[in-house]
Amino acid sequence: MMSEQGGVPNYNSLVPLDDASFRYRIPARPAWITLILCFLLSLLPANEIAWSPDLVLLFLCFFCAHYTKGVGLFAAFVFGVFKDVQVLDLLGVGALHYILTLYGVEKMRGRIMHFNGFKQMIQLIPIFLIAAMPSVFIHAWYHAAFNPTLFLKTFVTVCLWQILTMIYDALTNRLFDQKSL
Amino acid sequence: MRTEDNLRLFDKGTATEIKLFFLVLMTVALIVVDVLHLSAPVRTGLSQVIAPLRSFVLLPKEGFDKVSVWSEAVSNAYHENTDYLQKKIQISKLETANELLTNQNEELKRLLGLKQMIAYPSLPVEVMYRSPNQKRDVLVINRGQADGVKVGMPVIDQGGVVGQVSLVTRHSAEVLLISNRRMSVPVLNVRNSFRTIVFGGAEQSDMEIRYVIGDQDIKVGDRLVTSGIGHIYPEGLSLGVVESVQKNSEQGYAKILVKASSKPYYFKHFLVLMVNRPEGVSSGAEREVNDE
Repeated sequence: MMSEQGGVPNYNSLVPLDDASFRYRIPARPAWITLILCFLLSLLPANEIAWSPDLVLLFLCFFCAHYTKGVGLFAAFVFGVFKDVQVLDLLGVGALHYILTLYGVEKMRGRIMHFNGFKQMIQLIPIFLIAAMPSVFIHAWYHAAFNPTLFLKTFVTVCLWQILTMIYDALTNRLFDQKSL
Repeated sequence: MRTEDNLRLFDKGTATEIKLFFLVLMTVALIVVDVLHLSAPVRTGLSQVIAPLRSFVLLPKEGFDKVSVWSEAVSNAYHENTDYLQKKIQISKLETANELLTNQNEELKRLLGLKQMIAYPSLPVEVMYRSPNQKRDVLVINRGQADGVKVGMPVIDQGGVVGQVSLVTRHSAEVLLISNRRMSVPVLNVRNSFRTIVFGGAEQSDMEIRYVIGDQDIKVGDRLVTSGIGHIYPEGLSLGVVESVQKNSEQGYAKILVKASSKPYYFKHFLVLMVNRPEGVSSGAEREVNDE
């Protein structure tokens, strides 16, 4: 809170109420390089395996949760459309999946970032699975066959959140962060 | 005195919901456009962006493949040579008979006044990858517009028809396999020359014949070849064998399943037949509206 004493404001107490976006921010350049590398990896034939994780989605969500500049819904849309072209799916289905997941993460990030990686993951599992639902249903409607592969893929993806957080913490020496709950 | 609300410094106040609304609207528009098969330009453009990236990523794999091919080449060559020698003997036996039959066939065709069967030029292609989350029935091949591949051209292997080209980009093309829901092939029953159409999308087998009234003469084991009607598939390509005939009196129609004689799920190399379709003929597999 700002307090004024004798007309002189005390600037030391001028701290934003929500400082999460400063504490957890990942700089944009390494983030984007990682995203593009992930996209290149997703072009490999290994991506055809049903339980292979969607690394692009995972990193989009991770950087979005860490308030990286430019990683948001629009980036999700672009990556999603490219994914649709790549996997020969109905155009827009993957984009919808990405957008809805990113929206969920963006709404949740203010609340979950104080927790450790595992607790974040537990809270993100329902978001990831619910966001995959419209795509699965549109897919089922168009191909006249229910294909729950996307749920499996999404689940494997979100399970990697914990590992990713551990790697990130190790890289940035945040393992013994006093402020984490 | 300020309240807590307007003390939130550096709060971006983003309109995430508005962004979400517009982007979801765009995805829905894309889905609708694609369902109506109008998305060919978008797809072609984006795949041309992806294609060089993909080939760049696959460079190490290509290198590894080349090395392994070289190391296996010697043993392969030895085995192939022995096989070849054996086959050569068999072929020479057949050759004499074949010549006789070809002569007889030509004679008969001339007598009947039938059109001579045209040998179409063909293009060997390699499968780059298949669609991971459709029921295995779309492939991407490594030849495209630059090599003369056009939408609607049939794709074959040594067993017969495998599928049809459905979308062409500069250096790649999409192939719908015959088991795809969107495929239909006009065929002829070899045994009795009964004309019919075979559809993809069968649940229990590769293909099915629909809407055949119960008393039609189709039996298990009948061979089906393309009839050439519709000018998309050339005449006489093998398509499949009738696998089962279930005469269902409730529906009024027989349920006939067809097993493909080709092996669309097995090989990496196929042939595209460069059939030039006459003007104004369109195929079910087509994604484009205006065919150049």
